[in-house]
Amino acid sequence: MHPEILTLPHADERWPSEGAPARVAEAPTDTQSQRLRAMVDAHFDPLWRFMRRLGVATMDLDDAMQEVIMIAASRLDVIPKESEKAFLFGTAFRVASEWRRFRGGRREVALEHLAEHEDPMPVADALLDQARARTLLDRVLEEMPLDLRAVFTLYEIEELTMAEIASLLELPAGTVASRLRRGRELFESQVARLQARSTRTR
Amino acid sequence: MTEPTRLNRSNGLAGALLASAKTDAAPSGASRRALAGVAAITAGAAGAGVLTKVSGGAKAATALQTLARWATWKWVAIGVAGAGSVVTVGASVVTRHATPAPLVASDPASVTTGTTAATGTRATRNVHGASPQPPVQQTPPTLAAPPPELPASATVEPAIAPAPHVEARAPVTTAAALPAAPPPSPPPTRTAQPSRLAAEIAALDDAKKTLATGDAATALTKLDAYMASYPRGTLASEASALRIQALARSGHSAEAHEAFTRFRADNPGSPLLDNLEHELEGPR
Repeated sequence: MHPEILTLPHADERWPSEGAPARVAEAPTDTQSQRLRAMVDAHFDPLWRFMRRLGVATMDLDDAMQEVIMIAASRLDVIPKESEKAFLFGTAFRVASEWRRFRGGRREVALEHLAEHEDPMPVADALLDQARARTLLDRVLEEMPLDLRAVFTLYEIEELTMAEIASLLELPAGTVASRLRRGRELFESQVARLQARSTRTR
Repeated sequence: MTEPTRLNRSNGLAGALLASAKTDAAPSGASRRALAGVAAITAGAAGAGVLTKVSGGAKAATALQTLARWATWKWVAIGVAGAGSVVTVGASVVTRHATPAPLVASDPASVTTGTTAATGTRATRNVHGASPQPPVQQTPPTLAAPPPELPASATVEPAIAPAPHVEARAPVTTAAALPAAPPPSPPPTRTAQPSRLAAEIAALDDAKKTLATGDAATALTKLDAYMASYPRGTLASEASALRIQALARSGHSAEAHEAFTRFRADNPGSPLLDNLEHELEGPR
């Protein structure tokens, strides 16, 4: 009956600066600021979409995105230029995981219940309303474990290559492939259920 | 790596759903707001005002109030580090909040370590019960806390932060000032002059982890050590809350209730109260 222990920040054993000499505080240089801005400009929308598809609540997106940027700002000096995108997406994945955990983790929105409790219009003929379609998409994705969801989203929506995804999420290629396969299976089975339900409610 | 053909977006419901995501885009100005918030923090503009501005503003309603309180850890940590020092001290605190990445691969030199998420924003699980009160006006308790007192043994050096009020919060102490529960395996170059707040966080984190393992008695000892080292620590209220949990779980129910009564009197409106009440209402 105990609630979860009050969550306090905890140390990261893999402190990236381990062994590095202590640095003296200094203001970010113009160059750093420009670099950060350029990173954000280049990747903001895909990152935002990614976090959204990972299930970060709309109300949390600003904060979550800012957190990603904050972390990037704090690590600018250790992010290789060629790894900026990987850093941002990897960070976004982890930040999204935290926000989901904060919000109570995976929302158990069983698709079975959608038709019972919600307007069946989203699954009706045309799906003209993009916002509704996205809502439905997110519900389908919600049925997917986060690790599959990340790979599925990056591949099918952001259209990254599997090699890119492996790099971004720091996964072996085989893991990306298997997660994508499982993600697709889940996605397609959920969509099929939705279609069946939609047909029945017509 | 073989690239499977992507699902066809013109194909039925599945395609329509996927296509809908492609047209999704961040609202206008979201990028600018996020950058501005980060800039405000890195400029060392610590304090509740910044927290309010950068944490989503009025949009961050309802349950986010709890988050905002806990997020304070992160923002304070960054703020006290002073102007621009998010690159240094602030960074260390942020990254030390991090959760071990669930998908970490084997390449230690890669971005893995840097990509661990700052989780000062993590909060308690009772969020869904949070009432829809406006969060924006709430000054997080750690910000409202008086400047911490240094342990007698501390060797104090001038704070690196330029703002006077920030300096008062961010003295740099020697390793001798660390509480009994130092951060696990801190790099030597860091322990030479750890941020006081980082040390506080590490000490509380250690106690929390101990509590999570079920060893409430040891956690209690660690929390007592924290309180002895930081009688007016920046995170005193969080420490008190953890201590109440530790008391309750180590069988000191009466003492836990007594401490809770004091805590409630000292911290009216604290977001930690709900959790503590829940804790104390549990099986005794």
